[in-house]
Amino acid sequence: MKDPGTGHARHRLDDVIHAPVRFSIVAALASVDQAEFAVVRDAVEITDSALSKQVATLESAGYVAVSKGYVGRRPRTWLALTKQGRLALDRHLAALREIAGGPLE
Amino acid sequence: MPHHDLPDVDSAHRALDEASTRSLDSSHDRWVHGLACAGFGVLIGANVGVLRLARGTEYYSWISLGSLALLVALAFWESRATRTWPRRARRTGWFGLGGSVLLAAIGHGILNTVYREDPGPLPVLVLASAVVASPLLVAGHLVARGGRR
Repeated sequence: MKDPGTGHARHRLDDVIHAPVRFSIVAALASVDQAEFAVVRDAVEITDSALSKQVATLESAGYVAVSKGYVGRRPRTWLALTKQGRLALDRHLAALREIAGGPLE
Repeated sequence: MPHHDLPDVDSAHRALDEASTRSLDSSHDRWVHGLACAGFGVLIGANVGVLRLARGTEYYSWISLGSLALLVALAFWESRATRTWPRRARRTGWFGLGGSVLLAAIGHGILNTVYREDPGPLPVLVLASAVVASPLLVAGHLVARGGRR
């Protein structure tokens, strides 16, 4: 693998986050500590099954943590970006900014 | 490297726009978490004064149980009324709770030492309650106001 600190910025893009839907999920989760599954689903505008599939990929990469619980009798699934996920997103955004031609924010 | 579509300048801009606009941060949830934080502070703070006033009376147990029930109800309402935890809200809340619980322990200790026989003057109890509540009130304000991403 190439040294991530050198070469063209595209080499520093994160393969897991780069997929558009997963990028939307991670970008949305970056704005909060934790969010309900349904909130993320509505924000990203995908189906439950599509979100489950993408979250499983992000979870296996260690970028998203999934926790389940109850509020009253209602089961709820919570999604959170892990520290590793936040770092990966920051690196990915930095690479995108470089490709876009400088700091944007 | 198996990148999907390597972005050109325009798609990188679009992705960055997407990242900055796709926010789940909700002012409603911030407000609820902040209010709950402040509510915990008021309950814990009020307990310090009220329990001293009720010491030795038949109301002591009822007030203790009542405040516990209110704390549980407040926590339940908070979890029912919100669907997200804003950035750093949970950590801020825990810091506030830690501060209030610590001040409550110190306050009880001081009041028990200074006023052994009686509950103490009302202004002192009110002041002690306000001091105990203050970390959670500040935490509630910070959570409701929000901060940097």
